Amino acid sequence: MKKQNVSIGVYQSKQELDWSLFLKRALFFTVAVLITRVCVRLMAMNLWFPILKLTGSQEIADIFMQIKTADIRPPWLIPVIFSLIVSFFTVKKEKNIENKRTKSVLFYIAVGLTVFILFVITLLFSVYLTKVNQVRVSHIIKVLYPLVKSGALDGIL
Amino acid sequence: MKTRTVLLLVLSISLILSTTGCSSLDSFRDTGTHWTIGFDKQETVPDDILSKTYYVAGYSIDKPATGILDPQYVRAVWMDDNSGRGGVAFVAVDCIGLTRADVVHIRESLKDFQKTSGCRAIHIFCTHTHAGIDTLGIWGPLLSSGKDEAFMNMLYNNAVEAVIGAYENRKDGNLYCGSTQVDDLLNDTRDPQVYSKDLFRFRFKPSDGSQGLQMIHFGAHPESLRSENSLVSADFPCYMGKRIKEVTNDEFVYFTGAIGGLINTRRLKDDNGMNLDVYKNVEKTGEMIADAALSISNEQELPPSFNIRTQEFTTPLENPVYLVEKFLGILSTEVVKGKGLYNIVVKTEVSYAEIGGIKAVLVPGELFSEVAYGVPESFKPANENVENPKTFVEMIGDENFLVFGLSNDEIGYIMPPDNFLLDEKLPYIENATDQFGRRHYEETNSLSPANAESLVKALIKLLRSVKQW
Repeated sequence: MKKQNVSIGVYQSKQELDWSLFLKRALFFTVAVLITRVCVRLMAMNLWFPILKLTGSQEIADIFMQIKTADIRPPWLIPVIFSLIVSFFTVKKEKNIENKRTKSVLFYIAVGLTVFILFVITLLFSVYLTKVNQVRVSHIIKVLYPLVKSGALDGIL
Repeated sequence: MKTRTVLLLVLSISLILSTTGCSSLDSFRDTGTHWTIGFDKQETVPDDILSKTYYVAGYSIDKPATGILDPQYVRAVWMDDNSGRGGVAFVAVDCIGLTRADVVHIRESLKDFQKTSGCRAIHIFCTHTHAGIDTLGIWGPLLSSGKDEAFMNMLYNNAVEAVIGAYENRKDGNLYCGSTQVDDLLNDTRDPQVYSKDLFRFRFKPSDGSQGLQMIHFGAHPESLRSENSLVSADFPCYMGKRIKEVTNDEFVYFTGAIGGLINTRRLKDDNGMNLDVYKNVEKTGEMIADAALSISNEQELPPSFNIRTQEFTTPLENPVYLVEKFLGILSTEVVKGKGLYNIVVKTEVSYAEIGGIKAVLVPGELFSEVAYGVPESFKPANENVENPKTFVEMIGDENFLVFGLSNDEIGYIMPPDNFLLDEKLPYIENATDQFGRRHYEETNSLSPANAESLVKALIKLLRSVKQW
């Protein structure tokens, strides 16, 4: 009789596993990774636009327009970390959102803002580490920034 | 018991290793029964040269071609020593240079051919003409590609066609080699004055008495047309070949030697001591080289033996201009993660060959002769405390070898590190001037000071694998 009780207990605990929560998180994670990587690619492809705004030179912007057709490879790790964090903290058990505090507008704004800031940081870091034609954007910034800042390229570009 | 087992294991491993070593050496050196050699050429000029913008590569950027002086060609030679190892294809392209990515593309296109023909290896060389259509991409408008995709595809297809054609045109015959010195023509624009005046000729005479082939090897930049020319041309190799054909009816292929540092041909003068017009200059230069080739009287028949082995290696990419050009997709050079200033290295290759006993090193760029033959003791380099790597002479053991420049890649100038000097403010962009007032231009067209070291290390590995060093 005692043994029967134990087996019923195990059966009940298995039933309590909420697989739908894991599936939701996995789906959210996958979508977040894909969206982040697409955004990074689009940002890398359109590097010419911030360059045009920063330098005001259409000629320099035209040079960077060549990477529109480049082999662009955003990093995996940063979007994955971002998506893991976001999927874990935003997709929650429905019963956890029952209390008043989590239902408040302020809470949603705080979560939304945190996610947005994280997303922007993720995008910037990812673009910085993106490989365009096998060369990292960070290397190009490291090469060009001191040259442009010192005015050494003024006569050339 | 345990000791016995260990001893047995060690002995077995040693036996396996020594066997592998022997078979590796055996597969490198072999002699066949006779030579089978074929040749083909493909004209590589776009039909729309006058209506579309093509950039002339070699001097200033953004220089559109204004017409054609003579056509560029892709020439291919099929060489088989009939040792059962298969033939080797040597392709010479009239152009400024091709990157290894281009070479790999051509080799990939010939994969099926290699299977059916038993082709052992395909090596692609560039003559380095300074009047050809841009094939590297760096001679377009500032930081914009000067390469034309349709032209590049035509060049790739022509290389493939030429290799297949050379194989189909193969004939049995005899191969001879001779050399001469070409005096009073070469010019070394950078000290120390180290360069080879030797011109080598490999001459194939088919047994059936049909048209022969002359493979000319000479170390000079094909830039007799100088910078004022904007017409497309193969430069002096074209006029050298014309003269050879007029006199002997033989076809020709031109291979460039160690031309770095910077070896070109001097501007010829007329009877009044005035500089010849560049178009006459290129004709006369070509004819002088042809006459030197035709005067060779020390020819020896070469035994049918073509041994060749290739070693891949990497070398740091530290030139910011090349880095930006690679980033923008202008340069197709293959890079991977590695050592150096930016942790980026270029993947390239070096080969060692013995053609009928004639030793040759196939280098992937414009080699300074100092790297091959050494620096005179009297010369004071810019960096006296820097040590140069071993010279080719020290590694190969004698001075009788050929350097085939721009082989399977163009990584720029490969120079001795003791005389490598960069401008402090704009390294690789502005020319530096050393303490002796000497201008250092070639550094701006090189990957890094480590180029020679990387090449020599790979060559040592290669030579050790064939027990040459």
